[in-house]
Amino acid sequence: MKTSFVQRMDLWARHLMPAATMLLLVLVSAVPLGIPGYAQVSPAFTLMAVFYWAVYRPDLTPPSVVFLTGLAEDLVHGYPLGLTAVIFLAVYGVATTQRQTFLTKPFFIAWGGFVIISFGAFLLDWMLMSLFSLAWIIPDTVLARFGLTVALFPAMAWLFVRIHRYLVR
Amino acid sequence: MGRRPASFSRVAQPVRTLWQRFAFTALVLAAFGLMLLGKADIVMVKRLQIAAVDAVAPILEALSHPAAAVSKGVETALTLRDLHAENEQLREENSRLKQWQHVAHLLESENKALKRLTHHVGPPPVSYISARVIAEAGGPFVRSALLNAGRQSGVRRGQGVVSEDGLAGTVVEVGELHARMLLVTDLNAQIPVLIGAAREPGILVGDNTNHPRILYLPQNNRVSPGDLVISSGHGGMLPAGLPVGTVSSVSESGIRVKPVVDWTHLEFVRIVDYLMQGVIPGPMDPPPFTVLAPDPEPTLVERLGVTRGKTDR
Repeated sequence: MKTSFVQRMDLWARHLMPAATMLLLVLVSAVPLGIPGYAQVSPAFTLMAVFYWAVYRPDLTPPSVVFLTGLAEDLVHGYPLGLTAVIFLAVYGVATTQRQTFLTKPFFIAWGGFVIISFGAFLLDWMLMSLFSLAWIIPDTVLARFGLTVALFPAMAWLFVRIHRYLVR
Repeated sequence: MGRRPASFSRVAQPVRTLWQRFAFTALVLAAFGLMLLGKADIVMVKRLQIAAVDAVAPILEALSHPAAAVSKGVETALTLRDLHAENEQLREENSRLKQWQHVAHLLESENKALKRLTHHVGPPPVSYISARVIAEAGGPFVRSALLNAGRQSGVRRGQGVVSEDGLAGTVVEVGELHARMLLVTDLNAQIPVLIGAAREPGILVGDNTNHPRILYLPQNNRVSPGDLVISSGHGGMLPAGLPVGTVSSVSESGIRVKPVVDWTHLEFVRIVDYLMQGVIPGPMDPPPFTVLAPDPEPTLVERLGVTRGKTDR
């Protein structure tokens, strides 16, 4: 049976949701909140989205989308162009190859996986940035950011699960 | 006619499978390539970057309004609580400031008279462009913020950005509708300053911590904690005398400065349109026939400006 135009548009929009959440989080994470010190340790919301969709719907988030999300993050935050794209692609690559270990397991296994993978991501980020600026960057804020990101992952995952279940399907 | 799509897909299929197989590697390589291009300061990359941020600037601006409203609401609730104590404190401070105002008036008239006597040539006039902070760079590596004023409003690269407290940063990137300011605490920020009553010249150098350092001070300087740090105007990009911070610690490892700016309330800022053009070439006009951008770091040139200022004396 042939699907109607409206149905196809609907499906198309639903399949765009993962990419849309990632790009929206890029913008949201740059909004100044006026909380003391927040900008330096603001959790990497986009990284959580990249991990989540890489594990649960890699078919809807091809590497090109992850690459573009990384570029968008670099542009908005004024990082060296390509830096976050490298990080996101690395996270995406590891997450997609390991996704079978997370899929049917309880949530805390996926959370543990995120802790390990995001630690690697922050380490890579810090090393690349130190190399890029040819300076020793004090890693205390990096660690704080990592801690906050890991701690907030369940809350964001709850949101992603809702989007996944009701909007993407 | 009916055969054409089939033959097209026959040609496209191998390309497609090839892309699917190697897309990941290709994209990683592309990202690294972009980093290298960015490091080499290719004008094309810079332009694309600025145009892209220009495109999202209106969205960011729209998002920044509700966020500001929420944080303001929370703040109002907090201030309502200790309104009475604050009122008392302000009254006391007000009476003290009135005395200072009197002193300032006296000194100003005296200063004017002395300047007239010595035929002092003042700095060029300063005008301001007001802007709103629409995005703060997240993360530990950069301390920068996006402003909603760009070339159309007369913003140029290298101009200083001040909040109500003092110098917050300098403009490093200008688009049509936005500008990026580098905060004085950023790793790449370097501001020529004068310290204390002795007006010791030095360079304020950020290192991504909340307390930037002072480098290149003269030997046997007399700097002590609590000294006021003001911009020196060397290099011609910033007017002299903008408050930058106070010396917070003096130790073997160096001198640290606490910036005057209240980073949590950085919502509206003013860009200092200093009519002296300084030594930085105009934004995005490289000399003809080069692929390299004009010197991307105003700081280096500003440092040169300081040495020049010394020799001129």
